[in-house]
Amino acid sequence: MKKYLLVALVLILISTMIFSGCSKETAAPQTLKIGVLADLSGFLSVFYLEATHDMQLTADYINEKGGVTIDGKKYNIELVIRDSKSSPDGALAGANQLIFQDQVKYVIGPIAFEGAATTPLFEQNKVLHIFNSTTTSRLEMGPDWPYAFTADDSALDFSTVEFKIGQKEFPNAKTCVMILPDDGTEPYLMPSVIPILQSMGYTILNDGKAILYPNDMQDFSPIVSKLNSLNPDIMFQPEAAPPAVYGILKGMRAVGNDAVYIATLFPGDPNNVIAAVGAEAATNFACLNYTKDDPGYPQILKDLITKLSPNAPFFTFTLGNCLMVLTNVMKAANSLDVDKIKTKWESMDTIEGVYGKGTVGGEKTFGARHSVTWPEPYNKFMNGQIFKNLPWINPGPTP
Amino acid sequence: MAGYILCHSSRSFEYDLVFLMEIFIQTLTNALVLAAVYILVSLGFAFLFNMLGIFNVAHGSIYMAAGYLGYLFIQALGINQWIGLIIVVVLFAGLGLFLEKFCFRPFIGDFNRQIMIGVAIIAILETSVNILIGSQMYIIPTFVEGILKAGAYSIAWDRIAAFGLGGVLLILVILFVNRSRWGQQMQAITQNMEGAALQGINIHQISAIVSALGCALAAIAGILMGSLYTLDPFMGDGTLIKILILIILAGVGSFKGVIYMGLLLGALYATLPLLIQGAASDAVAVAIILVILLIRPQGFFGHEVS
Repeated sequence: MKKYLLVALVLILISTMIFSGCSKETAAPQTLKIGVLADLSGFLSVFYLEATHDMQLTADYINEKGGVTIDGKKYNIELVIRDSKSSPDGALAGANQLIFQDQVKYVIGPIAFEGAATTPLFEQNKVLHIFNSTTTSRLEMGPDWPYAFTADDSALDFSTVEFKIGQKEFPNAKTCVMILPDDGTEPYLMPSVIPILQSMGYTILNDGKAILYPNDMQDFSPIVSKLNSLNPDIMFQPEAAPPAVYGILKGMRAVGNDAVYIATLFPGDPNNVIAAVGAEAATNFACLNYTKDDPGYPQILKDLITKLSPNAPFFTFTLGNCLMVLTNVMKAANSLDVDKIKTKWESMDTIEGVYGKGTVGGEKTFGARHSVTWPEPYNKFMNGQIFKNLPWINPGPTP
Repeated sequence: MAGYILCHSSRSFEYDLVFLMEIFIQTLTNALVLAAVYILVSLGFAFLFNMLGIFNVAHGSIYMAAGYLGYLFIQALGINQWIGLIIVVVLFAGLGLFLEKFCFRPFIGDFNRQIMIGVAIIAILETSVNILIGSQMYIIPTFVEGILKAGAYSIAWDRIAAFGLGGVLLILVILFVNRSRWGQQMQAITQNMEGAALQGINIHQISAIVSALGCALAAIAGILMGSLYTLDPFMGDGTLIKILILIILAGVGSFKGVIYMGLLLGALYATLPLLIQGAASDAVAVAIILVILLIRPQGFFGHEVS
């Protein structure tokens, strides 16, 4: 009898050990798949290859810090990255793969002008999708698209920041023009920015229309001729790839025009500006971009910068920021349910991201509180000299 | 263009005239510089296509890679601009010899394999540039600094120099094609390859020379483009389309057609963005070319491809 009791005890002990082992297994972090639609090929890949790499660093950072805890369960982030090929049809193909092949419920990307192609597909399939840039077009985001969000400054927010920089750094400039790529931004953006410019005392040349150029333009000389003929005091370019900015800056100086030029220049180590256009042309110029050594960065960004390769030509956490925002809203909602995340986002006033604390807004522009804005760092160039790490400019919440 | 100027009712007529004249001068300069670049880069393609029927889709990438290599020598290694230009031109002439022997010669008359080889060369060159130099935008320092000012008008000296260099090279190429023994042999091969071979012309030797010359011209165009505008790893893709348009407009078999049509393309791409906003200017340029081809499907100077 004693022998049977002993065997039974041993069996109980073994089964307890086995089950405790199983419970340890269930406590291991699960995988949280997040889709990414980024331009890994085509003309935008120059920017997005680096942005995707830096996003992976952000995902690793979140995982190292314990992942995302939802309802007591830990999740490690797994990025599922698809190439949007710098084109709307490429983005649509990538979106199809993410939804139907990869079965993701959350997607970061694509870039603004590809959004008109992907938004309807994401919405039909109830996929929460977050732009890292928007043109403020209702084709990308708006009241008809309940699952469309943006977690980085839009063209409107960049415009506001640029106007504020213009007033602060170049107060004598009175006449201005807006320069935009021909990506569908103009009809949505200009009606919003004209009243802001007028309220700041600027006279808008070219009958209030922006100067447009093809997205893949290489020779900017005709655009420079147009700008030179308008002869503005100041030029604003809230949405641009670096070749356009370099082409216009170098071209304007080459024809002897020293008009002030303020542009977004992401990605950006500002030292690239001098290398790209020459010291002589780098004057009366300010650009929104990041340096590796800005003392004003929040701790998260400082930590992430230490993970960058010293040989990295530049860094950009624009996609990483979207990821950080999404995971923080998931944690705040304490749910992975798309509708609960959406509702939580709309109810929050601020959200932590890579750049610090972002402000939620967008009721007037997008019909819902689906936007988060961040202060922007900028650098100024005068006579070939860089003035780096200037105080950040806050656009305020998206109207 | 006048619409831009005349929308400013506060300006005087004289003021508008000065601006119109300045735009005209700038546009003319832009057209000539663009034409010079298009012609230089297209001639290499045209030589191989007209002579041997080799459809080198990698020609745009060769031009891009030369621009980046020029940047590497001139900006990163600090070599004098002109010496850097010469080194790159020599290296790319060597690349032309290599490509002719191992990539073009074995596939004469085999269009499908030519395309496959071309795509492979594009991938190798674009990836090499990305790995060796990085996929960032760069600008090669200007060859001639400063701005020429004449009264109210101003033109950057580097544009004048680019046009001057392009012009001199074109004259040399024309002299080479028309006056030199090798040039005349090239023309003979273009007219009838078998006939030329029967006359004792060494087809492989001439095609090697032509391939080296084509790559060298593409290298010069790439460096000029990188100095005047911006280098980016995909600049060859757009340029290839312009090369194809130019060759088709010029007509198969014509070298002088390439020069005339280069001037036409330069004028179109320098003027249309001034008159038409945004991406529509590209569409209008292609539409104009389409209309021209409807009227003259064989191009202006060549013979129709069957």
